[in-house]
Amino acid sequence: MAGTMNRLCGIFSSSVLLSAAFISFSCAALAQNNQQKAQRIVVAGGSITEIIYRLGQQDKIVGVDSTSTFPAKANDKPQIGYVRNLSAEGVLSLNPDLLLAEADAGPHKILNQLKQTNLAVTTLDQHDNLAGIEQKIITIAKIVDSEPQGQLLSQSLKIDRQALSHLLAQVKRQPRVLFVLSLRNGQPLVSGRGTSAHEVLLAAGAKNATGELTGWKPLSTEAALAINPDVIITMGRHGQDQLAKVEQLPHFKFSNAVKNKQIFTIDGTYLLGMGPRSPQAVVELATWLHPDAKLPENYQFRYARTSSGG
Amino acid sequence: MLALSETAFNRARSRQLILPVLLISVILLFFLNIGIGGVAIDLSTIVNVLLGNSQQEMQNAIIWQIRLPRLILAFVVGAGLSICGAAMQAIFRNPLADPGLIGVSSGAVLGAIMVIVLGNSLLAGFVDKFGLYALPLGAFIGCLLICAFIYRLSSGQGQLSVISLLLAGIAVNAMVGSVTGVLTYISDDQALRDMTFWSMGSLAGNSWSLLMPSLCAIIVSIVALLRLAKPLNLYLLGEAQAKHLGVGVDQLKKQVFFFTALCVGASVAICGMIGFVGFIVPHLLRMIIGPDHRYLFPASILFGGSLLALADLIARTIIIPSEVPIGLITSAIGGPFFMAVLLKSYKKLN
Repeated sequence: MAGTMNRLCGIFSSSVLLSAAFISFSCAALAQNNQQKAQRIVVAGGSITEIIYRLGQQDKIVGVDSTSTFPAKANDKPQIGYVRNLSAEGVLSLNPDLLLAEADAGPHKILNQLKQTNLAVTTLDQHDNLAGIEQKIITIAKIVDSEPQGQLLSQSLKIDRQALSHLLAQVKRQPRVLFVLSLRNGQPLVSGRGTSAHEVLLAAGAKNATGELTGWKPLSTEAALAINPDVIITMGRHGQDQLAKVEQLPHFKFSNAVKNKQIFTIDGTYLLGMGPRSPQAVVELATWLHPDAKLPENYQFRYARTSSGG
Repeated sequence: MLALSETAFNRARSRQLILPVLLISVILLFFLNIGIGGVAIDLSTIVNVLLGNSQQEMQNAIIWQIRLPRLILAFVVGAGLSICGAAMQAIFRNPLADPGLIGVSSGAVLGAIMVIVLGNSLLAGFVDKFGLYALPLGAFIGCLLICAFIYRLSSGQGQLSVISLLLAGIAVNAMVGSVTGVLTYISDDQALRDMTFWSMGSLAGNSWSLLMPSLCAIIVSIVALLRLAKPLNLYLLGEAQAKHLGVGVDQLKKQVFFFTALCVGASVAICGMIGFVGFIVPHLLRMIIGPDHRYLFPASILFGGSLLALADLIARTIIIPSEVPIGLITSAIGGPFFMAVLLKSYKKLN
């Protein structure tokens, strides 16, 4: 009897020891894992915030910059200021283990200072364009440790690309489109080569009416008359009535676009933010530019369409 | 002139009191600036870090790499701008004078905006070569070139005339302003944004190696200007009188010109445009302790330094975790304060 007791005790104690060892081992593994995967992230760049929210990892964000306006909930996170004007101690005060920044984050000397304090700083400067969004999503998913969701999300963008190529295959004539960023003092600021809008217009199967310019440039009245665009796209937040203003401008009053009511407003972060919604925004843009072309039958808009047509 | 210096303050006593009071405020601000910031660090840790006994890497880095260089930069730049303001007001014998008159600011803006706007195209080689130093270096070179140009225009036959200095300054500033305007016009949104932030001033982000050259230039100028206190006192009597009393007036003007250009150029280069300090500090002090430069200069150094340190403390803590440009703070606290003092002293005079 005593012998069995002893044996039982022996088995019991050894199993306790074993399980303790196992628990401590898995803790160690977990801790090692934690060291690699950031748990407290400060984000500098709107598209990164949007992607992390789509991946459902928003609890890891401890601070965002002022360009992180989508989703609206991101505004509740602590604000670290404008993406190009970060503050070293401000970022550190959030006690982060990673600063995840877009290519234009800065100033450089602040980033250098942050690296000196042994904060990990990752700058995603590779994929800041329409073609790179999938890669950007996968990179970010790796960082926030949710690769399966990242794969799903980037796969879902393929639907947009397929829909777009399906639609563009039916297009015979490319309209000349003018992209108006803002009306500064009644002078439209339009997109030239090298701008994100230029890239988006080409992707949507249009000709950029101001493609011979470089960067964002103000457009004079006479130059606008000479250009005479077929379609005008303006940027605006939801609810702002840019359309009426654009129609009234002497620049465009006599253009084909106004005559044929081909003026559209689209949300800036939706189309140009280069986040997960941008490919859909391009598809939507393409449907306006090519009203006769059909989308694939099974295609559905998955995100809110923040735009309105004339 | 300097009518506002006729005040009801008891000067002799103020003179005795002002330096100890300012010294205490400097020491106080030193600990406040080191102690307060976005990351909370308790007092004992700070003492340990300062004594070099701390093993905590993060706290060490924050104090030695972020707060201390910034504090020293704030103090030295504030001191430099203030003493230069005092010297300029003496040379022009006008309380409204500031270093901008001799082209320092417009030159620095021109240099900075050239680096920012043309950094990707025309000046790409320059920017690649000097990296982080390109912007301060550009601003400094711009400042010195424009100052030298104004100096050449206003000095003839070995003499530097204050009136022609003023006129040449206005003309050259206007021309430089138009070039700056053209550059602003052709710049893209990003450059425009950078330019706006630069013109509002910031002390942030400077490592020791980045700020050392500027610190040296400013300190050299401060020491040099301090030695000119006595001749400047005589100069206040009038140019002819000063000459008869044995002051080398032309030499004096040239020295003030050179060291002001050097000092303000070096500060603007490293931290952008910080307005108002150089104007308000000597002005206020002159009301309290009178125009004697032997007291005015040291007091300007301490007061200007503390003022900018205080302004920076506010700038970096008021909206943690982001930060306000310091130029906005200096004018926001300087303006109303100055107005209150003015109103009060006018009332006493009547």
